[in-house]
Amino acid sequence: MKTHQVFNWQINRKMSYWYPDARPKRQIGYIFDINKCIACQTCTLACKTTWTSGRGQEAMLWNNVETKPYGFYPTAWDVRLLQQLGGQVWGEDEYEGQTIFEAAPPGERVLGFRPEDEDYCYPNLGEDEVSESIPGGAHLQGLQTSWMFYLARICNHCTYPACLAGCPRMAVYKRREDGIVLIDQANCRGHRECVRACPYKKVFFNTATGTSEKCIACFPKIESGLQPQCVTHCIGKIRLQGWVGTPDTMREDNPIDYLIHVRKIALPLYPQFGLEPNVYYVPPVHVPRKFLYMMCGPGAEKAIEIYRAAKDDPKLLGALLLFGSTERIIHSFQVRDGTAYGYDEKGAEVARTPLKEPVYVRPFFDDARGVYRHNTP
Amino acid sequence: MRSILWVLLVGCAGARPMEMASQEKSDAQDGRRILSIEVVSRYRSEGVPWSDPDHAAWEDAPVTTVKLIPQQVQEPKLAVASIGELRIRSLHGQNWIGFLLEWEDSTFSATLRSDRFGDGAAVEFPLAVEPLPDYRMGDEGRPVQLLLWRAERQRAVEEKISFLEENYPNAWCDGYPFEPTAVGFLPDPAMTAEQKIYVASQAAENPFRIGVAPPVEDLGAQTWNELTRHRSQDGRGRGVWADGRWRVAIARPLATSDPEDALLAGRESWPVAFAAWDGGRENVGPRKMVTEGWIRVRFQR
Repeated sequence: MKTHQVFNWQINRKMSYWYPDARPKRQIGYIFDINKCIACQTCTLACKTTWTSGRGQEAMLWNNVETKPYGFYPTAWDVRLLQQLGGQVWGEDEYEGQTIFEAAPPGERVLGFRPEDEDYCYPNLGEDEVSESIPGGAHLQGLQTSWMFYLARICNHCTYPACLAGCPRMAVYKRREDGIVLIDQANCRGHRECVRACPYKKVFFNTATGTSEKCIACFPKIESGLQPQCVTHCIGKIRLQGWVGTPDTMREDNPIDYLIHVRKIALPLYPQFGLEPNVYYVPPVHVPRKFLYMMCGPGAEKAIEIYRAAKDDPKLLGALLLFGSTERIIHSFQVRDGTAYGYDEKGAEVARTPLKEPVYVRPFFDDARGVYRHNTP
Repeated sequence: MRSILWVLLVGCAGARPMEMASQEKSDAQDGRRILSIEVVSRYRSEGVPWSDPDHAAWEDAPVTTVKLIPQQVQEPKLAVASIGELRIRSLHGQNWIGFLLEWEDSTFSATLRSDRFGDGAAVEFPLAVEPLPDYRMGDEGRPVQLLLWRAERQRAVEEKISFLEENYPNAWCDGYPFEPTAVGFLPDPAMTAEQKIYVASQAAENPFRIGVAPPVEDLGAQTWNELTRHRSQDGRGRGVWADGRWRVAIARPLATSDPEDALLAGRESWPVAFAAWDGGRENVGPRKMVTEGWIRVRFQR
């Protein structure tokens, strides 16, 4: 197998890939603040009703929210590959284990597996299950030992997509203008090598058409300067979409770059797979560090430390409060006088949000309406 | 917005991936060799019964047994060949040539689901013999023509099978909003127009999609990865599975007006190669079995 050497900054080293390095002019990127997700599935429905309500797409969720550690869609998608990949060792400066490209068995382009059909049938498997059995009589006594969290997932529009590498018909491509990864629907022959190769299992087979389909990052919206449906419909405002640079090209006034590269509080999902995924997660603060180390790499501990102090860090807080503040794509931001401002590509203001919402304390009894009121902080 | 969406969704279809990897065939000489075995094509004045693999005329043609090996040149490769050999017969008439391929396959695989694949077979011709292209999908500047038969496509076209209904007989969906006859939705011309947008493979006029792709496709290749569909579809064929055995007839005209087709009219002999897919073992695309090289088909007058 003849492969190419490319640089993956998330694992801070060169790695082998099926194609030569060809970064797009700019790269779509997302940050999801996991701490704010309540698994309401509004994102899932926003995506579903926009793109996958057709025949053959019944069990297809380009966006899903699963409960970790025991929730999966499709079943066991990550633990199965983690087991196949074997030991994943992070050194002091770089990932020292193998990526799924480097660990490809003889005759394969990528280490992977194709789920069984039934694996797609239980998108809410493990929903709300916690990490351990709760003994009878247990009650809150301070710090809880059992834990769970919600992991919202879409296509990562990876810098080094495994679906693209795996397709023998070259029907998967990454757009130069924005890094969105698409399947050429005119040329897909439904071989499902992309389904097998994608470690995040975000490519799906459509039984009605015989072709494979995936998240298109709502590219008609992106081309209009708007954030995708799953981002703008999130009622918890956990998501921000914009453009992500590399450590060499990042801009500090870009909220995405600021949170990923400057403050390092948003981390990639399974960076050890080697795809340089472009959806970043603010890791959940209450989850055992070992689990986060496995899921996000060695930066999780520090990320949580900084995130916990955000309330006293106006610029960081401002960047986080721009999540869900506008449908427009935010290219740059400023925080001044207790307010965070977001600007579009031309510098026009598209978002403004106070760092602290004003507090109104209302009288306990409303004389005008003759009713009692509670004040909820 | 609707028209913009349509343009955007369809417009992406023509784009190409990032620069393709340069995959070289290290054993190029092996790929150009002609095996010492021959397939004799018997002349039949009544023509080639390509739609009937059980037609008695096929029995008059001599049988050549050809060994199949797993495709192990280009990733993804096939580790093991589950079909050891093909039995090949050939007939030709004034205008057509046909091949009857027979092989043992205990599993009838002719449906689609995310984890189910169809059986298949292919016949390949070089467009020129000086120099001869690699029989494994041709070489740059030395194209090959492929006639690909697929079992699931035959069922979809001939029997109008819905693989959704076949594989999920008890499934229920409240409605498909972009289908004009959707339950619970009033017929709406605007919605019907939108269906074309949101069923992207249909909007992009993907010729390989189920129900549209014919049982036999006429394709061309000049290297791995680059499989193109001929503008003129000149292949015909039909397969029958019975008692753990496929009998598949694949035919084409001896001469066509398509410059992408190999010209066979007036030839004494011409190289040909074969491939087979065992859907029950998840064979698909390059995960296939192939002959060990070109085989000469000799036209008996």
